Amino acid sequence: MFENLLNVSDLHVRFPTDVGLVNAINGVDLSINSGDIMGLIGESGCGKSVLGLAITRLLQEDAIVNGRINYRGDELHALDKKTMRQIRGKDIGIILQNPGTSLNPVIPIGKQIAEPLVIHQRMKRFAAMDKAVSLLERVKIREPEKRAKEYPHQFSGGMKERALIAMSLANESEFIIADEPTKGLDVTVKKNIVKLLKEIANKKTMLIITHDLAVAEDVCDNIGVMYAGEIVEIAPVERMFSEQLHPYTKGFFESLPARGLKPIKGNSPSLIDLPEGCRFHSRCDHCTERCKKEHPPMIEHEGRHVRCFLYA
Amino acid sequence: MIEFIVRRVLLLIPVLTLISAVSFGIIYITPGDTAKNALMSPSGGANEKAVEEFRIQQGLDKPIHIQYLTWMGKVLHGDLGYSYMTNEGVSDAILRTFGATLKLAIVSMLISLLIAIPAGIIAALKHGTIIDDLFRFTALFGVSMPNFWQAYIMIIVFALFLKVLPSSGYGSGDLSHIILPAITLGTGYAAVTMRLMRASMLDVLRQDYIRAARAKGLPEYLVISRHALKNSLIPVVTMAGLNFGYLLNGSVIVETIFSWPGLGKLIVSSILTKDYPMIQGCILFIAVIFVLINFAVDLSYAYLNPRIRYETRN
Repeated sequence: MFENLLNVSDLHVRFPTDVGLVNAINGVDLSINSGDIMGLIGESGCGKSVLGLAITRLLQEDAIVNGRINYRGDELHALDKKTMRQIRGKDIGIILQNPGTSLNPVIPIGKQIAEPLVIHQRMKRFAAMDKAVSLLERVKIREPEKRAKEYPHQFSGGMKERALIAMSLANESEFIIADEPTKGLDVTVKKNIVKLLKEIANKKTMLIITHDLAVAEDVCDNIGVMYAGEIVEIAPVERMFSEQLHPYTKGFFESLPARGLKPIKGNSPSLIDLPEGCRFHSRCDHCTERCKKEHPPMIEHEGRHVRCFLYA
Repeated sequence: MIEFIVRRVLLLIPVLTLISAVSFGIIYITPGDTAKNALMSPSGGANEKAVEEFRIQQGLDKPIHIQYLTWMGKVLHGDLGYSYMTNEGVSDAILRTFGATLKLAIVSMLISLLIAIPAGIIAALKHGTIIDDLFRFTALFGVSMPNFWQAYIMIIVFALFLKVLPSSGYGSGDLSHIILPAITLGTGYAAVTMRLMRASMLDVLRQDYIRAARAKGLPEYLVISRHALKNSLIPVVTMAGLNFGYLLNGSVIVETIFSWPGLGKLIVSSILTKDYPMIQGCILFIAVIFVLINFAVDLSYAYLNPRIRYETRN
């Protein structure tokens, strides 16, 4: 169970735009062991979704990706397109964000869930449809047989999320990336989705991208915190929630409604023109001269990792 | 679905009533005395007595609303009246010419779609490349080129210079006569449709469900054909349907240039001779065809887009 399933090292992702290169991810190192549930948290625009898409090579075509992404010994970005396609949806299941728009409006749900089965297992259409119905049942959709024939607009938000989850489960992928699986869902629906995610997580390795701390705490084993395109802190979930080391992590936790609603002063730095030194220094109460000039490396502190000179 | 169809059919009634009134009323907007116009000799004069007789015979002495109701009554029984000029039944003339127009419309439509849909898809998939630029430039050229000019160029090249195709006429209804007018009409519509197809496909390719299809590991051709195509066809079908409506109403210019014995040519000649029953009949016919085509477009739209079906059910 300690085998490194996914190993991301020194990953950089940049997007060319009219106003300059956007540095969406700046030197991310991340490893996920087999059986681990890794949660990636951070505010909107910190690059957490881009990371998920970069791993699966689903970014827009003009994205510039540098660094290494090793999955079970395969360098994903060195694979030819066909091999990569065979990994997507089979070895790596992907739950994309925005269930409202991630399902094709003109194709019945069952057919959409059956697709990865037909593609990867060469299942016959009827067999695949039967399996799709049982997958819908597994994600606890009532009357799955009837529902499989329906279109996305006939599903509620929570049901669409379930359908997306069912799709990612179709081929029993051992690794699942879930991008904001609870975004936009109301509290009761969210609770049920979290329950479902926990059931799935039982037997799988997962990367869960979320800005919802409650979800992260409930489902994940380890938490990584992202800020301005880099990981600033990684710790096991209990330790992360009992004590946050990085000033940004502290601020992020305290800014949430359930924890005081105290916003962090200032704004996230521009990803086009990244600040020198620590990317958080202009918003940090503990900022020193060193923080302004030198970019802090990942520092090990009592068995956990943090990117801050306070612990050097 | 049945409810949807019934609702649409019921909506046709007021639309068609209004159209019939307008097409009848057109006579009274045009200047001159209808009876006098009809009996006018080429030199310009008309026999007063004959005009009076004609007026009474045709019921033109009665008030407008009576005339309209009489006309409507006949129309509902399938009688569109008789031509002032040739005494041919209006419905006979329309049916005679509509066949030729229908044939031209279908071939033109096929040509335009066979060009526009693949070209639009390719341009979208290769967007930003030289191929896209080339397709777009060609389309712009196609849109900008007036029909009559293109028609003459084609006649000059294929009929006069290469001598491979007849310059005009219907012939025995064979393929060789239809090629030039159909290409003239088809390429014009292809240009517009291709641009819409490209824009629509580009828009669809940016959608989340396309990324989701790729995330499942679908090969690119399935992503396009299964997930993108149907969605991107929705606006294209609407437009192609409307274009087909225009085509069915006869392209006046192209039919005239190629001496194609279609509806467009019939309308032009009846306008030139002030043959009012014929004009009224043609306008009504065209309007009905147009409304029916729109209806068919709506039906196909509902087929392509399951959300439409749902909305009518609630």
